[in-house]
Amino acid sequence: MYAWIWRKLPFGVPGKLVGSVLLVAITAAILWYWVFPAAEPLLPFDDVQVTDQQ
Amino acid sequence: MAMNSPDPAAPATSPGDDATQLIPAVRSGVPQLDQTQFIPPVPSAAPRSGTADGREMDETAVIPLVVPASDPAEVTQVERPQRIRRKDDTGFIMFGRVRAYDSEPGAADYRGRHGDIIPLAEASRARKIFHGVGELMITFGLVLLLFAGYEIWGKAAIVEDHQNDLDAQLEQAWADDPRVVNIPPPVDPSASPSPTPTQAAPPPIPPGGSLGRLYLPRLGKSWVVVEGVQVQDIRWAPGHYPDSAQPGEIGNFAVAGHRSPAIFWDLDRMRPGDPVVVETRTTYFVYRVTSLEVVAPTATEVVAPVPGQPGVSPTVAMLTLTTCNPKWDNYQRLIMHAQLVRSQPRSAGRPAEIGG
Repeated sequence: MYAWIWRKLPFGVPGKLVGSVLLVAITAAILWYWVFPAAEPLLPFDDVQVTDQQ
Repeated sequence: MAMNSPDPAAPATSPGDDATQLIPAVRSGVPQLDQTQFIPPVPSAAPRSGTADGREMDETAVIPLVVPASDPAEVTQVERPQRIRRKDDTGFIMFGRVRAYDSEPGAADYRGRHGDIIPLAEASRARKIFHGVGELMITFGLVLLLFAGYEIWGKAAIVEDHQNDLDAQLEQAWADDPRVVNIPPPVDPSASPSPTPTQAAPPPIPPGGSLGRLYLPRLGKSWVVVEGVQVQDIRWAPGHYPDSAQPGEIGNFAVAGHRSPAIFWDLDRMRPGDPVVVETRTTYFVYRVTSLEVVAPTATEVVAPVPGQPGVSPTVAMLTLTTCNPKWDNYQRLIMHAQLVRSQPRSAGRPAEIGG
């Protein structure tokens, strides 16, 4: 998968490096700002801990 | 792969010999070397330079076919059907059929130490699957690492943002109208709803409405406390158990908060005797910590009016904080109790415990 992406990135090695960094940054931003906030309430570490009065 | 002009490196070949042109690496100086390789019964044949790259000598044993030694062209064109499995000194395993190929490192057509193997289709398919699964697992691990970072730093920043909003709105509401005791919850911080003050003596605070501030001087932290302990209430702030006492009241002012770095992360560092300050519109209430304990999640008696003794009517004003324990898990609760020691009106300034 990564090799395939690397082959598809244009503009030689400098372009591939810049493209890789961009792809990683975009992926991380999508995860950080959309996926994690949406997934986080579904996970148990932090959101159901105050159930003393059940 | 069009025929180039005759290779200057191989001028010694006869002009009519097309086949050797396909194999420019066959050095004219050692024309017989290729052929002796394929004659296994001669174990002490000319020493193979190929062994230096890690190939095992006996692999030639699987190629019993003796090619006609007289015609070098034959050597290059015979594709041997035998499958071999070769493991080199690095542990690399190669499956495939062997083709005649033996150029040396540095030669123009050198194809690597396994250049003489045509990979089997099934072997390369299996390798692709392993490769893909491995990449997926690495990717998943990296995503998990990023999520751990988000849980620690990302959420702390978000909670602090919300706390700043709540704080500013509480300050504004208290300043605008001294009778205002709370403001509605900011449902969406970007929408920034204008505060619609609830007036009157002690009005019930709606779930999510801000109640006041809580200070833990030892931790150097303070928060706006909201009403309610539902998930949506306490998402960004500690929440007041609705059935428990109000700040300073006889009974138990109980507050729940997440064990997240922006909220009650370090609550276990509190010690008996530490001050806890609660600020309402009119008053600062100073409590002192009496005890910390770890209990089961069902131990509701800790938020009873007299902590630990449900049903008993209270005589002193207590404060109880609850959060989850251990960190990042929720199978226990960390509880901190404190007792009211004094109070002072807000107009008298901040108490000494919080730098007044």
